[in-house]
Amino acid sequence: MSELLSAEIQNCIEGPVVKYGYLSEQIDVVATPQSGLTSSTTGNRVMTDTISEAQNPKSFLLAIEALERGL
Amino acid sequence: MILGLFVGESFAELSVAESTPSSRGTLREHQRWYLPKHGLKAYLQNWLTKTPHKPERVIVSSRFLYKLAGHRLGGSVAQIVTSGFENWSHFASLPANTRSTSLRQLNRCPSLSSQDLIFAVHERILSDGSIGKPLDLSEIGAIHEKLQVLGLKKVCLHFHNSNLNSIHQQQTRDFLVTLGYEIFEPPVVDAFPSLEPFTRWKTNTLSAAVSGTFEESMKEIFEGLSAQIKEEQIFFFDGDLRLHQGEPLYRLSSLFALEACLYSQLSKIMNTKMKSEKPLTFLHFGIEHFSYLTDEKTLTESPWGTLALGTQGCRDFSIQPSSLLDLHDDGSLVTKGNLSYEPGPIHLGRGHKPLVADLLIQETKWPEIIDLDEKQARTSLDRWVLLMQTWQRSVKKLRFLANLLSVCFEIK
Repeated sequence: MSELLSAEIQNCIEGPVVKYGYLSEQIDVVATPQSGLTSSTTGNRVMTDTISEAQNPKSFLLAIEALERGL
Repeated sequence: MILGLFVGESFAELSVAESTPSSRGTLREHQRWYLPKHGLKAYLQNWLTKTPHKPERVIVSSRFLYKLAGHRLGGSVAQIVTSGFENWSHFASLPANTRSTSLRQLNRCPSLSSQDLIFAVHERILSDGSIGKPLDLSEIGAIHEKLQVLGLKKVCLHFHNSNLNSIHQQQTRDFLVTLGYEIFEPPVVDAFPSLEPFTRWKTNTLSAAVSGTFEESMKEIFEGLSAQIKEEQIFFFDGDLRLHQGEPLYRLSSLFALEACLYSQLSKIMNTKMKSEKPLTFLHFGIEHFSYLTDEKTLTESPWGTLALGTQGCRDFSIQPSSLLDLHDDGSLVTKGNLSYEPGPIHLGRGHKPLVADLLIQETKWPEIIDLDEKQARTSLDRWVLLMQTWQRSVKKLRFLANLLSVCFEIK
């Protein structure tokens, strides 16, 4: 299972990533040889930023996008 | 004011945002609820009676399609297919995406086609676009007789090489529309002109299969909001974030629009923060769904495989909150494919099978997020503890996420 995830990560993610979602605070992104992620200076934890879903709920982002598109 | 409404597999949420120039985009209200506990229509009706905010327009996004993924679809959809290509419709039902064949797809991709509802027509458009064998409309007339007996009203047209010359498709459509049929034609994706026909056919069949359910879902929303909002003020996004009002052509695409919207808005938030416009990758760890979003324009991935719909780059992780947990013979914890989010994790009170979500709930503030009442939470927890005790008798130590997520993620 881990190998499957690693392969997906290697194919799709390069460098720092930004987390979003209610569960993002519970999940750290970790650089390992298999993951293909670039390690930051903070050990093997990849430098990530997090956008809070509590402050930016999906439905709110939908509304903002709609406003920007002229609704 | 504008109302944003997101309807997930088990949760729904709404936000009211200001649309006046002075305070445009300000969040005025946010609600989230568990759909098995409060139905969509009733919740919306009740909310409208209580809220001080009166939105004039609504933008809706839904993921209800994922709830249908475990079910057989297409039972009321006929397909008219070029003779000799009838089996392609079954081929089209297989997951075409080998690039990211996740367990989610493999486990949740029942056939979209029924052999009994595929009707062959002896016509042929050649690979240079010329007519190899002209269409005889009397054949379509004979199919009409059969469709009447079967009571079918939705018809997909799958003519080989129709993307090169659509004359036979047009003739058939015109003929059947006058007889009252709802016609579905394979989409053409400009960015992927050489897309294989069976992917386009699959997309078309899925589009026809979910059209009725989409309509029911729209009706529920209309009725829920009818006290305040007129039907013509309710909008949806398609995969390219174009606004529409639920026309059949855009229905399927709109079910995958959330990711494009998230990428657009999350990018803007980060660009403002970082003062740059560098493309970023976002990891989305929602309550129901794990995915990553990139700036790449791709074909849409679905539980049925790749679809002929352009969208924002988005791919599901093979491990999802709804992944089923099981104990391997060696005592390690493994996932066994993905279930629908219905009935959901044990901790939400309805499920009886342990999911990855159950592990995450242990470490998070989910009860706060999902408004679980105390009695329900206690009953669910008892059920979970009982299961864990059973498992612990089998192994000395359960290393929960070590075997699941440790390579790329670690749980705090």
